[in-house]
Amino acid sequence: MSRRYQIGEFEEIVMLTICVLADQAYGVAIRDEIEVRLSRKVSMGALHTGLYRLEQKGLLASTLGEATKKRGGKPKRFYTVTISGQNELKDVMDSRQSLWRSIPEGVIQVSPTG
Amino acid sequence: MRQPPVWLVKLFTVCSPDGRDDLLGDFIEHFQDDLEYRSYRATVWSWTLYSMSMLKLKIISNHNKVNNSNTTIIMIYTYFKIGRRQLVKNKLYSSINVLGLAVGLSAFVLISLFVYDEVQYDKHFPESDQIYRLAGSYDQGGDGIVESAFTSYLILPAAELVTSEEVTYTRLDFRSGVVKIVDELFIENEILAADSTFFDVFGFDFVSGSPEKVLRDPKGIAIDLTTSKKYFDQTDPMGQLIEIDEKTFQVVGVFNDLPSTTHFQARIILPIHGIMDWYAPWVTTNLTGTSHATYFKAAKHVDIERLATNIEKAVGEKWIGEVKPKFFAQPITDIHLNSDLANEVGINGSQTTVTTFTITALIVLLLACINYVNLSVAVALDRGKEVGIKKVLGAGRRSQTLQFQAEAFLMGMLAVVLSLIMILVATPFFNQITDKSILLGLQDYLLIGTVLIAIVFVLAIAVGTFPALFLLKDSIKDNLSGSRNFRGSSKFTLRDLMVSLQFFLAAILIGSTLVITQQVRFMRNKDLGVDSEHVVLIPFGASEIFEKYEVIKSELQNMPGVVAVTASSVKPTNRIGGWRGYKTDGMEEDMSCPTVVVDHNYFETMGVRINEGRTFSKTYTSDYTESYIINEAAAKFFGFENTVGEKLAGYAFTGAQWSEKNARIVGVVEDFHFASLHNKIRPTVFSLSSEITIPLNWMIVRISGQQIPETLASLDELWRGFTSDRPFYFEFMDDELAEHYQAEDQLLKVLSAFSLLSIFLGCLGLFGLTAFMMRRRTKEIGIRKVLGASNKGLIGILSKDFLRLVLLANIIGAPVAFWLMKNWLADFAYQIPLSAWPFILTAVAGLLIAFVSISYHSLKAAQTNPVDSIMYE
Repeated sequence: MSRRYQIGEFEEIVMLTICVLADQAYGVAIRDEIEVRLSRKVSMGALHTGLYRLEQKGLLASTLGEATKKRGGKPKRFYTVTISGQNELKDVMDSRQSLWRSIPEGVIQVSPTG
Repeated sequence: MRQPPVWLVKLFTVCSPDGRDDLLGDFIEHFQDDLEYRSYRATVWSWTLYSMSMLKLKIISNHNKVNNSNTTIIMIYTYFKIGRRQLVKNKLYSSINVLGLAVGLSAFVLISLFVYDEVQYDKHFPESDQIYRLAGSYDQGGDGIVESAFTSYLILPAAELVTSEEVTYTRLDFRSGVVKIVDELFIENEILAADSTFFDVFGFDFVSGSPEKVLRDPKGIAIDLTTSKKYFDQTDPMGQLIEIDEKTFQVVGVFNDLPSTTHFQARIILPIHGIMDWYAPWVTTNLTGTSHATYFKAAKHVDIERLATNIEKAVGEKWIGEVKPKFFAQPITDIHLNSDLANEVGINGSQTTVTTFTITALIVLLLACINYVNLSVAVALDRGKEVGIKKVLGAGRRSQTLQFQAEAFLMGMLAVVLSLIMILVATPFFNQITDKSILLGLQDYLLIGTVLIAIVFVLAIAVGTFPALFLLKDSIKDNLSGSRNFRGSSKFTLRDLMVSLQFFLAAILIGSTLVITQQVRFMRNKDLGVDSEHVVLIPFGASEIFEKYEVIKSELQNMPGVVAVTASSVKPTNRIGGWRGYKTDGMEEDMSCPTVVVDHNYFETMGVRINEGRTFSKTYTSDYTESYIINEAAAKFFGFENTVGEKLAGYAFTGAQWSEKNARIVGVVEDFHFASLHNKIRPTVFSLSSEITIPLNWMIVRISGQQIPETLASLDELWRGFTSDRPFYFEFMDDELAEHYQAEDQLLKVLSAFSLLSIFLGCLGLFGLTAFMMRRRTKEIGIRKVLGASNKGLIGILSKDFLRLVLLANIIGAPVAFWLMKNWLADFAYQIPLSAWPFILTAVAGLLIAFVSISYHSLKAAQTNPVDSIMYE
């Protein structure tokens, strides 16, 4: 299988989180969501570096939103996963699932949650 | 809602990419969220760190922007990128290079600081270029011309008569005294008595009180801030009473401490007209005395030389003796470095030291630069292939040169940073060696940094030009095949010249240091004719103690630990004065000769040998009025045949009254040195202390070498038994003598440090160069080994080239150093003979050290397996 680009684990999480947040995916929300759901610390710099790179690669798209008082009158930048981004996510899931399906019976002894 | 502090918002903005308002919004929102479960301080702190994490994003997005915009910026960016890669690739050369340059730059800066400090002396006074000191040149007959910083108290009125109103005079008297505040006693050595015009001549920085009022009132004095804190702590010093030598004064002014760059120091300034009763009568009656320094400030257009001549004439008319004194004016800014008169107030610096240091600083800087150029060029020449490829791709001459220059500059900047750190660390040590108190503020560092960057910039341009010049001249074919021949032709290349120059300069520095060490050791160890160890010098300080001298002496003699006691009119470690006229039988005119008034036991206590006759003795009461003892130099000076028993007619002076003292010579003592070996031994007459001589001033006590602290403690106790007004004060004679050699000591310390540095730099360069040369010659070495060359032979071949240069450098350097040292030694009255040995030693040491630094790499190269080295491509 030849691919132009393989997204990394962190990037995958960021993209998935953006999908989870649907039309409310902006910097603060994404970071909070990752921290709450995955109980994992993310620095603002790391998150935005990731977002920037993904956008450069065309996997994300962004639009500027409204400004609120809490943000000192600054606009929010909302992210959405582009079609090619969605393809990437799907590819990752497919490859994982094909691997899962190929595991012989009894090798994995812990039962999957939920 | 609490907002983040303004500075944090700024920090965040600076750290995040431009034009991303949404990020700032995110930041503010996050900040508010965090505040809900954290204190304000903790939040600010954590966001300070988070802000920095945005830097990466900024760099990435800026980088992408650059790629799309200006090509010049991209080019410069790549220059530095390639430069960084080169630095990392050649770790050894890079670090040697950066280290060498940094050490050189730091040394240069430190010496410059020293020189700057020395040159700044007395320039802090307002209009310092118009302030002068009036010094006198007194002819004492024979070769005895004494140039003195002090002149008579009576010079000023005489001078005022002949000068216009554009000149203001002031007399200064540098004193020490005992200050009493309530019940506490302090010995103050920096008391200045001055005329009321003092502050018109010397502008002082007053904290309270005004210079117009101080010194007008005979009781009004001014003190400096340190003294004020010492005496009165926090209370307001103004109006407080101070008792100095049992006279009460009132503080009417407080001034900022005089900067250490002043040739005199003054903590307490009191009016001369308030202390006239402290002076012996001769001070105010005797025009020939030397008791006060006279300073004046003259308007710009005043002809100073004519002024001095006029004063000379006016004084000459009232002069009693035959030979009239000459007067000359010294600009005060010149005194610290260029004046070495009798009665100099403090220990002055020396122009020789400053000049030597300046030259040394430049040499060290030059050495470091040569190193830098040599190494950079050597490493750069290895990059023919890169240059070739770039040429093929169409890079121009200018852009290629710029590449090398950018790299050199990058390395230079590293050195500048390292050097600033070195200066920061080394300043305290440097202060200790040079006895200075140089403190550098942020501004100074900025200034130094700017200067260093400028130096490095110029260097970088030069360094970048060389390799580009060579490589660009070659054809592309030569570039790519790497066939430039670096050695093999025996032509004397630029690099050879620079290596030789380095070792040439090192040879001069080291040779000179060896000679100076010899001279200083010689002066320190030469028999002065006196035994100065374990001798304690105690000033009487006040006449009331002098009056009790006989009692103190007898108690001292019974004290365990005390070997001998005597006294003298002058401090035995100072230059002698007290010139008196003497006449032998058949002589027409008086011959002037310094005279020292001593107590019994003087020569025994000082450990001076008696050559002929006897010493002063209590069994001869006639000794008080009818005996002289002279030194050998005086015996020659007067031209005696038998000396002992000869008649000598002289004068005695109590400080107020002259009387004749016609006496016979009872003994001749061996010549011994007062002060230091800088001066020749003068003909000297010793006279026993009596009613007709000036009073004794210094008690000289020889103690035994054991239990010195205990002996000193009992001396203190004894002293306090005699006076409660005066704390016990003493000096060790050998310490005092050592002070005279301070200038040479300092010179020696700094020169030693810098000659070590120069050889270190030279070797560092050589080490780097050989490492590089060996890499280039790997194949040659392999082939030689295959053909049967031995390790020993190989090292010989490999070292030969460089050692030849070092030898050459020493052969040229030795005569230069010899000549320099001959001039330096000429200033000393007693000097070591200058031999060839120090220079031969220098050459041998230089060769040896050079060989060691070469041999590491040549040995490594010689031991490699030829199979590896021949097929190293």
